[in-house]
Amino acid sequence: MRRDLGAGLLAVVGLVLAVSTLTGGYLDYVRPSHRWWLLATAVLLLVAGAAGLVGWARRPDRPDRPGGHDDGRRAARLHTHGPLAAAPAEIAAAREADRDRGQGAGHRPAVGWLLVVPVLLVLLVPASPLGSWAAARQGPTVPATTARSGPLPPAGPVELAVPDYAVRAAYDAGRGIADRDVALVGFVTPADDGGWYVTRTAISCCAADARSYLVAVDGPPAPARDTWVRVVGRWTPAVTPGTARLRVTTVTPVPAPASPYVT
Amino acid sequence: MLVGPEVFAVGVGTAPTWQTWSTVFVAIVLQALPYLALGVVVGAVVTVLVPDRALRAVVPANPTAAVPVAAVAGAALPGCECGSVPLAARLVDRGVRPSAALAFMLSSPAVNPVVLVATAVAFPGQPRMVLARAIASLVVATVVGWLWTRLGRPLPVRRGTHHHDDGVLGVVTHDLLHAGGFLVVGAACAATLNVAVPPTWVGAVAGVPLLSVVVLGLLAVLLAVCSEADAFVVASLTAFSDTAKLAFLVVGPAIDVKLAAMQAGTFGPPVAARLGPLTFVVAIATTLVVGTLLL
Repeated sequence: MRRDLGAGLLAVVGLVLAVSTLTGGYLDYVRPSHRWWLLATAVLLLVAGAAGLVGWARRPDRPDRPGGHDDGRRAARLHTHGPLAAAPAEIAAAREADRDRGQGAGHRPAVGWLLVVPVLLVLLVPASPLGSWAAARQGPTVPATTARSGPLPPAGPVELAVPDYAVRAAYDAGRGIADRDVALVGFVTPADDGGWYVTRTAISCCAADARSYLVAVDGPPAPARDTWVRVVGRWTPAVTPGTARLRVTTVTPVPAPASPYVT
Repeated sequence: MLVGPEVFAVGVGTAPTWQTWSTVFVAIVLQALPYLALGVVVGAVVTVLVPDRALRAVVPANPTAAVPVAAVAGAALPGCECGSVPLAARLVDRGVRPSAALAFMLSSPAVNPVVLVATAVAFPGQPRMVLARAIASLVVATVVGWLWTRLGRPLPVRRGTHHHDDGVLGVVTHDLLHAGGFLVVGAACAATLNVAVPPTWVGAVAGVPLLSVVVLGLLAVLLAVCSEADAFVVASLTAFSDTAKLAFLVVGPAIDVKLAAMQAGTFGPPVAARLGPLTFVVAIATTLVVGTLLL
């Protein structure tokens, strides 16, 4: 890869990273607290890219500068064959000098071009956080988690994160919430039997370590797949051990949250 | 001409697969890029700014002692595993013994404080899990380092890429493009396996003592979950023994498909083809010993 193209590529990656971080697009991929790491990386990429481009523009033997040499490579100015051929040692020395000055062939690793792939995917593939497809693939068994939530409010419906409710319902027989109204916000995952689950995806770092929490809904018919809803209902024992169920009284459509995952 | 609805169904049916693949792939790249950049910057500083004298003072001359010292020094680099590969390569370029650089590369993703704290959070009330992870990972790094001196091939030293006159930013640019390109390869492999491997296929062997340890070790290689998150993933596999879970935590940060791609790109395929299996075998053996003693 040419030196200027390498610098330009880094700058482009940095720019896309910065825009994705500042507009919140990154939340479809990684946890919110990764923001500062991403911004720092974007700054580094932009600085390295800009410095590389400035250095390249200022190099004394730039081809388009008056008096400049063809392409700055010493080896390119030597004949390797024919009557004007230079001595092999002289060619080798010129090539060595080119390499040392970073002007030789392949002076920026060509494998770096692959960085174009994630950039294109971010720009061209419509944003889609992991949803019902990944959840249905994992199945309704609630992943055991050891996280415990804080104290519950004394009155009114209890607003719980879907994973929190799912674990209480599946493994603790509805501990603390069995006789309370519970409100959950999540997206719709259709079940094979015509029922549906209110679902939330949990990540620790990024979408590669996602676990889905599915709560079977007992009551109203299924809204459209992947729409976000708020459901209010009461705990009811599930048929299959290790799964969660909620007897739902109301279903309200809600806008998708800024961060599709819980961490 | 036969264009039935099933053909259409196949097209639509695979759409969420590709969408999920794209999301997981970009997620791995975004997650890893900052840690990769940190490793690259530290490597560039070591390459350009740290004088030979200082480097010699830190790394012991005795090869047998240098390996465990390097493994313990791995605790100083925070974050996930991706940054340690380009940094190890720069250390080798600067004349650090390959066995010591490899020990540093293998230990740092597993024993740094960020990862150990995350492990403690994922396994509350089980401090032995954190202890077992730290000890086992240090032992794996040290043993692989020592074995490499006897069994391994020399690591390639990139003469002419010292770039002393290129400055820190020049080295950073070179290594970001190099390691970043191979990160993309590794992330593509990991995302493909993430989408292709059904999450429940390991459940069948949960009760089998030795096999479950090997299978969770293999799962760590295939899924390439970063070391800050692996404890949360494996903590949810409640059917498995603690020793099997430890295998996931010890193998993953040392060798997985993403790291193998980066090692192959950085040190060459012949080195990666030896280092990967060696690391896996040592990690499983160490897990069995440490798991039996501590868990």
